[in-house]
Amino acid sequence: MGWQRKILRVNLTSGTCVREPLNMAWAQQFLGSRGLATQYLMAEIDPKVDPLAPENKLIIATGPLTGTIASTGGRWTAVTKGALTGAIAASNSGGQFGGELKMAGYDLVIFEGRSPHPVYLYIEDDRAALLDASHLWGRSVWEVEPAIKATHEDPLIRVASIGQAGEYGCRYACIVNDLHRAAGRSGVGTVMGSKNLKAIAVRGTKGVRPHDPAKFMSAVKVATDALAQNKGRKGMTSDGTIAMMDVTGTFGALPTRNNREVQFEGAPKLNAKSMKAPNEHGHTNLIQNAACFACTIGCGRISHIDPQHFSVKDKPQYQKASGGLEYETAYALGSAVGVDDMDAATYAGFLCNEYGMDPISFGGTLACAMELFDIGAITKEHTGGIELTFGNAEALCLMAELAGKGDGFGRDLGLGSKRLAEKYGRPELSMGVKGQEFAAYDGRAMQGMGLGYATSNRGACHLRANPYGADFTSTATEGKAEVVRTSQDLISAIDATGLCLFTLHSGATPEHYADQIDGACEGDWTLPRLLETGERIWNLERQFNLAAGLTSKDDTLPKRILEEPAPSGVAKGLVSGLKTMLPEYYAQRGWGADGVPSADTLKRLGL
Amino acid sequence: MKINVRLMGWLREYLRSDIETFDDKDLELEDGITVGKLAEDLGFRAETEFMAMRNGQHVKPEVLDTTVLVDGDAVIYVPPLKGG
Repeated sequence: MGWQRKILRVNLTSGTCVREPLNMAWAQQFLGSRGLATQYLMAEIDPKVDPLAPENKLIIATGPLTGTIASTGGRWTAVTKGALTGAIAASNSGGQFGGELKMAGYDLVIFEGRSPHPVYLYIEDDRAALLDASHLWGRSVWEVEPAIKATHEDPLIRVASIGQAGEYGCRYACIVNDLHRAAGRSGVGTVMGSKNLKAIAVRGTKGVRPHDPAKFMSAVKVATDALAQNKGRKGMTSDGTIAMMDVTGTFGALPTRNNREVQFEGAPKLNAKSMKAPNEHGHTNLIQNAACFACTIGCGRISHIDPQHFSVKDKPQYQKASGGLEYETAYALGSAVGVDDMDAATYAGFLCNEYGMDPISFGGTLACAMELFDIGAITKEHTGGIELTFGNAEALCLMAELAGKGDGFGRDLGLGSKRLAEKYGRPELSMGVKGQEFAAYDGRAMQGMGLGYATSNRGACHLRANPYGADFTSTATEGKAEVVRTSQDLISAIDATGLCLFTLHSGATPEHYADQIDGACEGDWTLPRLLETGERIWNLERQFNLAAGLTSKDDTLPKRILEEPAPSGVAKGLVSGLKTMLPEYYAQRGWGADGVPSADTLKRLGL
Repeated sequence: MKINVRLMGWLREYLRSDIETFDDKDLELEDGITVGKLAEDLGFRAETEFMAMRNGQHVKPEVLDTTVLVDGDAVIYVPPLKGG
């Protein structure tokens, strides 16, 4: 079965929780998680809706492999219209929450309406109820999760919640589960906050039954063995994603100081080696790695900050172990803002988890604010007397707190870089796409990534295409459209399975996904069918965005990437070749020159 | 001739067993060696995909065996790192 064949529909306005059968025709067409939830959203809301209106819906989704023993089978996705972007939002997270929700018996939980007062959803297998959360409102993720576990006297409850950022309307608030895993991007936590929904707490004991257990077990063994033997997987385990810092730093693909530069002199202080090296006090940032539900990779980092560091001195609550820097956070809270202080970046990352903010968008927005400060568009009068200069580690830590709470200039930072740059009269200084800040790759040294950012349905994102190999081999634009298009489809399919995308970076082949799905689910799931499902999901998301009012004009990059040559690295003197790649990409997709899928393409995909 | 060689990520794990592991090292090499042949001699070429950079510029896969190193060059080998 793979699927639990059940939806939980939660009407926050009326306070009701109703179990419904899953639309199995849609499950066969869109598989699960990101794909299936997007189909439900498309069918149930007007894409033109204000993301923060009660008419927007928030869908928490699992995939057919979520909750199974397939390696990394613990992923879940939050799907909604994004508060940051106004585009489709599909934010994926790991931890233990997704597996627990699936084992409680649900493929999807659909939240609709708006509660008249703060509530949290409590699920115990078939029983589900909305409970008062007035006492939790105003409290952080780190306070809410233990409070709910204590209330129900069950430490095995898994919790996904919003912090203060999601309550006040920070545009890039995320939903944090298991204290430091997050559905991070596009403002899914902002939508949750707009509904007065503080948390989802779940205890599931049902398990998940695959359709053909023998076939499934065999496929899982093959895939897990492949990961076990793969050197890339071993690298992810030992070094984590932050291993990328040396590569992009060397190639000149590391966005630095709001993409003014592409190499950061402080990168060696923010890499895998320095994370493991004792500082002058003998303190080591990294404690150990960590794995999510059923994961055999374990790329997560558990860190602690030197108690003598300025950020945590006299703050014992931040001297404990928690989720440490990954590559993206090391960029956003490091090179993007010109800070080379690993403990300061770790602290800012802790605050992002505690208050429930996407660290990529927070760092990108702060980098934009620092450039605005540098050119005088923002002054100390705006910042409350803070010197918002690149490299100011104290300012990074303070601003993370202010943005998390929505206090002072933090309220401006909570707008996201697009709205912030517009407010201060320099819209071109927002480094993002569709209002969402760049991830940790520069689109000049990595031409394919630039195209991937521009065409990503949820705004700039490094997890929507896989052009790394092609980009680290050549700065040419030739062939990049095909690499981006085909990888977007494969990744859409992987996201729909309930497995982690990092399996692809750790030795999994496309056949491994198809074989595991074929064992878990009814229907003959061949690789071509799986890839077509990915293409269908990609086009469905595109249809949502077009219906929401986005056009091909939104498939673009900031002026800096299109017109200012990279100052150093492999792309020194080059700008993005987006204008060359985009028409080729549209044509390959079967879309018109206006970026609209043709009738033939939609018909072929059954849309 | 002297060539500076950097190995990133997990490539050092594929070094030939009789070569002492390193991340960054100046090697004395014979004249005429190419970027591809050096990867072969170090032991990782047959074991894994990799990307290479010479003096700050990409070396495309199709020219690995025709890109001749000269004294003072710096070459960087990178495993197929993705995502993050």
